[in-house]
Amino acid sequence: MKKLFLIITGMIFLSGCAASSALRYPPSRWIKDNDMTPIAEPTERWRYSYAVGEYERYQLAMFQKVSSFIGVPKVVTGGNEEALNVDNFDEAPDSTWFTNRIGRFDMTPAQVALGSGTGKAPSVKDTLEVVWVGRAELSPEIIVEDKDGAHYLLIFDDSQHPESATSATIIANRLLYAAGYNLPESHIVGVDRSKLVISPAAVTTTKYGEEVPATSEDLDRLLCLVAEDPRTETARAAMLAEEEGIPLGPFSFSGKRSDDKKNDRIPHEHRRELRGLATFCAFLDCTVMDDEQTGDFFVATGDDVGFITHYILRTDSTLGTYRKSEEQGLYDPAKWNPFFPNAAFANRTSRDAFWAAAILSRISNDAIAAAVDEAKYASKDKRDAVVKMLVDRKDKTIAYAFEKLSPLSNFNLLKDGESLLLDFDDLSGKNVYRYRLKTERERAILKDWTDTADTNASIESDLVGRILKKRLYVLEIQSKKPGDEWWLPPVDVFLKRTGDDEITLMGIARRYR
Amino acid sequence: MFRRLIIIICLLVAPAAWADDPVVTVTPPNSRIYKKILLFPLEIPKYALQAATFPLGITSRYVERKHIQQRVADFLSNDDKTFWVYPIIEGGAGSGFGGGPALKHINLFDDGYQLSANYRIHINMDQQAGASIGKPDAFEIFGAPVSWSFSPQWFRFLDQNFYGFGNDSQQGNKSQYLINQTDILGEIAAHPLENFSVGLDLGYSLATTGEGDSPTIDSIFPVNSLSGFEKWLQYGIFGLKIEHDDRNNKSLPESGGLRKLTLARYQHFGQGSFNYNQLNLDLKQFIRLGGPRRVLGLHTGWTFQQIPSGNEIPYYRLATLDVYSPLRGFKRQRFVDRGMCVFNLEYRMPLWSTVDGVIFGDTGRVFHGVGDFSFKGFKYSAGGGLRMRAMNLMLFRLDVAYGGEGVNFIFGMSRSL
Repeated sequence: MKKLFLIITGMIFLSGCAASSALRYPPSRWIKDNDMTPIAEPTERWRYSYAVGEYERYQLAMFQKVSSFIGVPKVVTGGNEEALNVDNFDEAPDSTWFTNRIGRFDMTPAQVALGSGTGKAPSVKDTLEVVWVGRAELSPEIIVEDKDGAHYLLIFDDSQHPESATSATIIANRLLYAAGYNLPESHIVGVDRSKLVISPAAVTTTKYGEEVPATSEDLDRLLCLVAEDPRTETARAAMLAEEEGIPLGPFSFSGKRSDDKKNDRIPHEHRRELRGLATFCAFLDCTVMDDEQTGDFFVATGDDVGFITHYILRTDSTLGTYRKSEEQGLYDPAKWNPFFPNAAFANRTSRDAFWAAAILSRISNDAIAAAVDEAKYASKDKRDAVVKMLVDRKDKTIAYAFEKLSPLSNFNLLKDGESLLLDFDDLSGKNVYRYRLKTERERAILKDWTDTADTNASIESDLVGRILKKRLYVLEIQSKKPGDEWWLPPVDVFLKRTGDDEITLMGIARRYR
Repeated sequence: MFRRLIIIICLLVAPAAWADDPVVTVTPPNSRIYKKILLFPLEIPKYALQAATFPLGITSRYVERKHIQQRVADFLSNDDKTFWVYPIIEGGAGSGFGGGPALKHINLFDDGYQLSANYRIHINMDQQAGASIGKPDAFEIFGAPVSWSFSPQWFRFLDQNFYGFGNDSQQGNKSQYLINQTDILGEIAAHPLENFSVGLDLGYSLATTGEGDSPTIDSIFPVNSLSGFEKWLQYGIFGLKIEHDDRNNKSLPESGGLRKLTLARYQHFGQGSFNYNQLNLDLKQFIRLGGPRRVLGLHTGWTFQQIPSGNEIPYYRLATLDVYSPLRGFKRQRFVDRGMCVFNLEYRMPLWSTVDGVIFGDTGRVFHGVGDFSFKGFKYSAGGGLRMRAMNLMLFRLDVAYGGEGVNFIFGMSRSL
C-alpha cells in the first residue's frame, strides 16, 4: 500500500514537472513537422463510418469532466487539454495536414481566388465517362474520367437549390486553402448532360454502403435531380480534381492511424489545425464536417514507400447549404455547432479558436469577395449577399474569439541600443495596454505594470542587465478597449538570456481569465 | 505530372524563410503518459466489460459495417419510417422467457395520430396485451397545446409472486397467485411551457385474483390477511399529473431529466370499501460525462398510499419494490407495502459501436406509512449490463444483478433507467 502511494505521488509529481515545461522546441515561430518519414503503403482502406470510434472521440473529454467535477487538479488531468502540436508561439507547424499560408504570408485576393488550382478549369467539352454514380443524399454527384484518364468529382446543385452546393464547394475550398488546409483543385463548370456516358465499369453505392454496378438508368435518375442553367442549358457543377496519390479513405477526427505510427504521432482530436477548423467551419456555416468530408492519400516517394497527406475533400455543406431556411442568418459564434459532433471540435479550446481567428482576420474582405466571384453566381445581388454574409460572419467570429483572449500577436524582440523593445500587433484594432516584467514563477517583479498606448513594450538597459543567464523571464502584457474597466487575460511572453549572452524570445502563452 | 510539376515549382520559389524553418518531430509531451496512467482506474469498468463481451464487439463492428441495423429497420418499417411492426423479446427475474408482436404508427392518417399495440406471452403462459392511441398537440387551450391519449391494457399472470407484507418479508415465503386485470386509461395533458405538462387522468380498472401455481398464496398466508383475494374489484381512477421532461431522448437519454408527480384517487365501485389515494414521485436526471454515450443516470422513485378510514387496499395493488422499480437484484413483486422508495445510480458507457455497457447500483425499501419510514433496512443490489443500440434507440437490454437472493438475469426491450 505504501509502495502504491509512493508510486502515485511520484507520478503526480512527475506529471506536474512535465506539465510546467511548456517550451519544448527551439524558439522559432514557424516550424515544420517531420511527418514525411517514408513508410510502406498502407493496405487497409478506411471507409466512412459515423459510429466506429465514437467512443474514442470522447475518451479524454470524459476524464477531464469527471476529474474537474471531483476536484482533481488540472495539472494532473490536463484540464481542457490544449492542442499538442503547437510550437512555442502557439502556432501550428507546417505538416502533411496544414501549411501556414495567409496566416504567415500576405496573399492577394487573386491568390486566394486561385485556391489550390492553376486557374484553368479542365475541359468538359469532350465526352466524360461516368465511373461512379452517387446517391444524392446531400447533393447529386458523380465521378467522371476524361479522355486522359484523369478523374474528377462533379457535385451538382439539386433543382430545388440552384447555385447552393456548387457555390459552397468553390468558395469554402478557396478560403480554407488560403487558411492552410489541403484541398483539391476545384472549378465551376457547365456540364452538357449529353456528354456524360456511363462507363461499363461504373459503380454506384447502395444505401447500405455496398458498391454495385451502375447503369445508365441510375445516372438518368440522378441527373433528373440536377438543376439546369437556363442560359447555357448545361448543368452547373463544382468540378474537383483527383488528388495526387493513392486514396486511402477518410481520416478520422480522433485517434491516430495505426499504419503510420512514425508520422502520425498526435491524436487527431488534439491537432491544432483540426480543432481550429471548427472556427473556420463556424465562419463558413459548415453544417457537416466529419470523416466523410475528408481523405487521406499515399504519395509515393520511392519504391514501395511514401508518406500520407491529409485532405478536406468536400466543402459543399458550407454556407448553410443543408441548414433549414429558418436557421439561416441567425449566427452566434458562441452557440454554433455542426450537425454532427466530431472529436476535434469537441476538444477545442479558446486558444484553438484564437489561432484560427487570427488567421481569419488576415483574410481581407476583398479576398472573400474574390473567392465568392469564383462561384460565378448568375445574379450580382446573390453574389453581394453571400459576400456580405461571409464578411458579417467573419467579423462576428473574430470578435468572439478576441473577446476571450488578448488579441495580441506577432511578437518581435528588437534591440534599441542597450534596451530592448518588444513589438507586437493588436489584431482587434486600437486598444490600450499594460505590461510588466517578472521572473517565471513571479518570485521577483523586475518592472511593475506600465501603461502604454503603443504596441510595444520596452525593457530598459538596467533591467536588461538584471536578466540572468539560463533563467526564464516573463513579460506579461494585457490589453483592453479604451474605456473598458477590466483588462483581458494577459499574454505571457517568455524571454531568456541564452548561452551566447543574447536575450531571446522563447515563446508565448495566452492565459485564460 | 503537370500538378506535380506545379508543386515542385511552388516549393522552389517558396520564401527563403520557409526553407529555413526548423524541422521538428512534434510529439505529445511526456506528461500525457503519466496522466493516462493516473486516470487508468476510471477506465477499468470499460475494459472489464469489453473483455467480457469481446465477441460482441466483433459482431457489433460487423453489424455496423454491413449496415445490418438499417437493413433490419427497413425490413420492419415503411419507407417513411412511420409504421413499424417488430418483435418483443423479454424475460428474467422470475417472469420467464416471453415475447410477441408489436406495432407502432407515429403519424396515423397523416395527421399526427400515434398508435401502438402489443401482445406478449411467456413460457409460463403469462399473457398481456396493450394498445394506445393518442395525438400530441391535438388542439390548444388558452394558447397551450393539448395532447390526449387513450390506452386499454390487459394482463393475466398465472404465477404472480407474493412474499408477504413489509420490508422484512422472507424469500422463503414465496407464494404465487393468479391475477387477471384490465385497465382503460384516458389522459389529457396541456403543455403551457416547453417540456412542462399538466395532465388529467380518467380511467377504469377491473381485476381479480385467485390461486396460482404451487405454492399457492393461500397455502402460506391466511386468506383473511389477503384483502380483495378472489374478488372482482372495479375502480374508477381520477388522477392529476404534473410533469417536466427535458430529456434529449426518451429511449437512451444523455442529458436532461424527468420530474413527474402523480396524484390519483382509486374509487372502488361495488361491495366493500377498497378506496385509496396514491401519490407517485419520479425523478430522473441524466448527466453527460464528456461526450455522447457517456452518461450518469440518477433516479429516485417514491410511492405513498393513503387509505381513508374504513377502507383497505387489495394486496396486489400495494406499492411494490421489485426488479421493475428498479431494484434489479430482486424478483418480481418482492416487497410490497403502502409506501416505497428507490434510488438508482447508473453509469452508461460506450463499449462497442452499437453496444453500450452499464454498471448500476440500486437501493430502496418499502414502508407501511410515512411515520414508519427510516433510512434503516434498505435493500441493495448492484450489477452490470449491456444496451444494444441503433439509431439512438435502445433495441435490447441485458442486465445481470445481485441483491443477496441469487443472481437475476433480465433481458428485454424496455427503455433506459
